[in-house]
Amino acid sequence: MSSIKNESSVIALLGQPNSGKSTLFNGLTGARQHVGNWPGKTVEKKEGYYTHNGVKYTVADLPGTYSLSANSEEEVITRDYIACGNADVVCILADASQLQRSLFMLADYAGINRPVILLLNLMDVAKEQGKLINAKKIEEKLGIPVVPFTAADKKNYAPFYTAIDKAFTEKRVLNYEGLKHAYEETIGKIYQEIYDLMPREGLDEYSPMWLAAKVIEGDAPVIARVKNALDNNSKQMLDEVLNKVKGGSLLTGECKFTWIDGILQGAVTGKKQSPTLSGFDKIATSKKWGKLLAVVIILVGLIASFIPALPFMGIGAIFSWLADPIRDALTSAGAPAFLIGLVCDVLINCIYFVMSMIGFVFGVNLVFGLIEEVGYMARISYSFDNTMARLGLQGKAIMPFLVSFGCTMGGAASTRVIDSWGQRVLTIALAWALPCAATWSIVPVIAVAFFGGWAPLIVVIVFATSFLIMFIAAKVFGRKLVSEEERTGMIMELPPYHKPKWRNLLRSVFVRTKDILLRALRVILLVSVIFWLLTYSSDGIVDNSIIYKIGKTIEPVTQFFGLGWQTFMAFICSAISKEAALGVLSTLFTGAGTVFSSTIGGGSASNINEILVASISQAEALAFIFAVTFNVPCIVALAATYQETHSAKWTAAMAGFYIGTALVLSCIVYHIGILIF
Amino acid sequence: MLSKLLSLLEEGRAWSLEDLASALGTGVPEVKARLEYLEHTGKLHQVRMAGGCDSDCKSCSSQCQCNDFKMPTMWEITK
Repeated sequence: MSSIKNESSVIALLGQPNSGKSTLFNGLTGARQHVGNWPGKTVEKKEGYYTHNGVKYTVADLPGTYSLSANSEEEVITRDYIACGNADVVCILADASQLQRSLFMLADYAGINRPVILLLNLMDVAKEQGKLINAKKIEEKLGIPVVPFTAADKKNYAPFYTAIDKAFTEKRVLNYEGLKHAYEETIGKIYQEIYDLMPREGLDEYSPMWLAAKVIEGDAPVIARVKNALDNNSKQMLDEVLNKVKGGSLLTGECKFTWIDGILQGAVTGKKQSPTLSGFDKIATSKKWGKLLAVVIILVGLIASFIPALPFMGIGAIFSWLADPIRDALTSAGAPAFLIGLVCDVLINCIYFVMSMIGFVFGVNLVFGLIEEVGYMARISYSFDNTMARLGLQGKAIMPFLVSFGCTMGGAASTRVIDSWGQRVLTIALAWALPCAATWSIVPVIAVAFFGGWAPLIVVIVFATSFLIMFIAAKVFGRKLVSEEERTGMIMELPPYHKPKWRNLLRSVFVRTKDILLRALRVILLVSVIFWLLTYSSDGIVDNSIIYKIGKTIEPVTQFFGLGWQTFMAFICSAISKEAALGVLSTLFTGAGTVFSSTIGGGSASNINEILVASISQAEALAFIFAVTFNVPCIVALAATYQETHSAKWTAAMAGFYIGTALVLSCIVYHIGILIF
Repeated sequence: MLSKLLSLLEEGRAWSLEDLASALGTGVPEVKARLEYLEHTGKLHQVRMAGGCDSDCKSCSSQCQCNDFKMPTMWEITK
C-alpha cells in the first residue's frame, strides 16, 4: 500500500467562464471540496484535493474571469493569488472549439513566472467542428505542457496527471518572448520607455514585461504598486510617458491577439469558418438587392397569410347565419327585446368579426414567425440599415420596428435600447406608422368583405403606404430630433439559416393568436355594448338617439374625408383600440338602430358582411381602411409613448400628425376610389 | 486590427461579422475574439433587449409579446 505524503502541492485552475474549470475541479476532487469566501471578499473560494501516485494535490478553483485585468474584484483576486506564489502550478483551461478567444487568458497570463500547463478542453466539440489541433506544435511554441482533453471525460484524465507531474518536476514557465517582441514592434518606443522603468526583477511573480503591459493598459492597482517600488525621479518619468499613451488597452490587446494568431498558425487545421457569405446570403444582405428580396418575401408572406384565414372566415359566417334562428327562438320563448338585441345584434356579430380576423392574425404571425425562425429576419434588419440611416435613425432602431409589427406599445417600450432621447422619440414616431397585429387583423377582414379577391392587393398597398408615411414622418420630426453625428456603427451577428422547429413555432403562433383573440373579443364586445346603448332612444325611433344626432351633425365634415358618420365614429374609436372599429361598425350597421327594432342598414340581411357591403360604398370602405390603419395606434401605445418620451408635447405632436395623415389619406383614397369604382 | 475595427464602426454603418472579417482581412472567429475583448474593455457593448422593458413578461399587462422577438446579437461603440 502506498503512503500519502502529508505536504500538499497546490494546483490553481485558471480559465474564462465556461472553459470547463468547474467540471475539472469536480472531476478531480469529487466530494473532497471546501467552499468558502476569499478573505474579506464576497467572491466564492473553492478548494478541494485529490491524490495521485501517493501525492496529495490541493486544487484551487479560481473565479472564472475573462482576463487578468483589474476590471473586477474576481480578476484582481485571481491574479494576486497566482502572483503571491500560492499555487505551485497553474492550469490554464482553454476552450479548444474557440481557441482564438479562449487563449486570451493565456496571453494575459504571459509574463507571470509561475509554472503553468495549458489544458485544451472540449476537444470533442472541436473534433465535431472538424478542427484538428496539433497540441505538440503549440507546446513547442509555448514551452509548457499542452494537454488536449475533455474535462467531462473523467476516465481519460491520464494525460492531465502526467502533465501535472511533469510541471512539478520541470517547473516550466511560459515562453513569452513572442509577445514581448510584439509589444516592441507594435507599441515601440513607449513600450520600451515604460519597460525600462519597471523594477528589474519584476514584482512578486510579475515580470517587467507583464507589468509594463498592464501599466500601458492603465491598470490602476498595478500602476500604484509599480510606483511604490520606484524612486521619485522614475515616478515622474513614468507619469510623463503615460501621458503619451493613447488607447493603451487597444495596443496591448492587438499584440496579444497577434501572439495568439502566431501560436495557432499551422497548429489548427480543418474546417475553417469562411468570412464569405453563401450566394443567397450575398443577395439577402446586399444593400441593393437585400431590400427588394425582403419586400418580396414579406409581401408574398402577407398574401399567403390569407390562405389559413379562409377556414376561420367560414366558421365566422356560420355564427352570422345563426343570428336569425336564434332571434326567432328567443322571440318565441318570450325573451325580452333587450336581451334579443344584445345577443343577436351584439354578441353574434362580435363573434363573427373576431373569428374572421383571427385567421389573418394566425396567418400573419405564422409567416413572420417562420421568417424569424429560419434566421432570415436578421438579414432583413441588416439590409435595411442604410434605410435607417436615411431616416436619420440608428441601426438598432430596427428592434423596436420589428416589435411594432406585433404591438406598437411594445415597440415604444423597446426604444429603451436607444440612448439618444431624440433618436428614441423619432423611432417611436416612425414605429406608429407600422401596422400592428390588430391592424393586420381588421384590414384584411374589411378588404375581403368589400374587395373579395382584390383584398391581398389592398393589403400590399397599405403595407407600402406605411413605408411612405415613415419617410414623411422622418422628414417632419427628424429635423428637430436628431443630428447626423448621433449615428453610430453597429455589428450584427447573422444567425445561420436553419430548419424551423415547427412545434415551437406553432406553439408560439397559437399563444399569440389566442391572446389577440381574447383581447379583441373583450374590446369589440365592450365597444359594441357602449355603442349599442348609445343607439337607444326612449321612443324607439333611431333618429332620436344620441349617436344618430351627433352623427348627422358631423357628417357634412366627415364626408369631406370620404367617411360617413358611422365609419367616422369607427375611425375615432380605432384610436382607442384598432379592434374597436369593428365593434362600432358591427353595432351601428347591424345593431338595430334602436333597442327595439332593426332599422339601420337593411335588417333583412342575415350576414353582417352583406349589411356592410349594402350600406358602405367601396370608395368609403377603402377610405376607412386607410383612416383606421394610419390613425393613432391605440390609447395604450399613446400612454407608452408619453412614458418613454416624457414629453406631452411630442406625444401630442405625433397624435396630431397621425390623425391628420389618416384623414388626408382617407380623403385622397376616397376620391381615387370614386374614379375607379 | 482593433483600432481599424473601431474606425470601421465609426463610419456609422452596420456590419455583419462576415463583412467585417472580409474588411479586416481575417476570419469570423478572429473578429469575434476581438469583439469580446473590446466589449470587456468597455469600448463596445452588446445591444441587449429583454423585450424592451425591465420586467418579465409574466407580470406585464400589455400582452405585446415583445419578448417573443428573437433579435440578432448586435454590438455598438460605447460613447
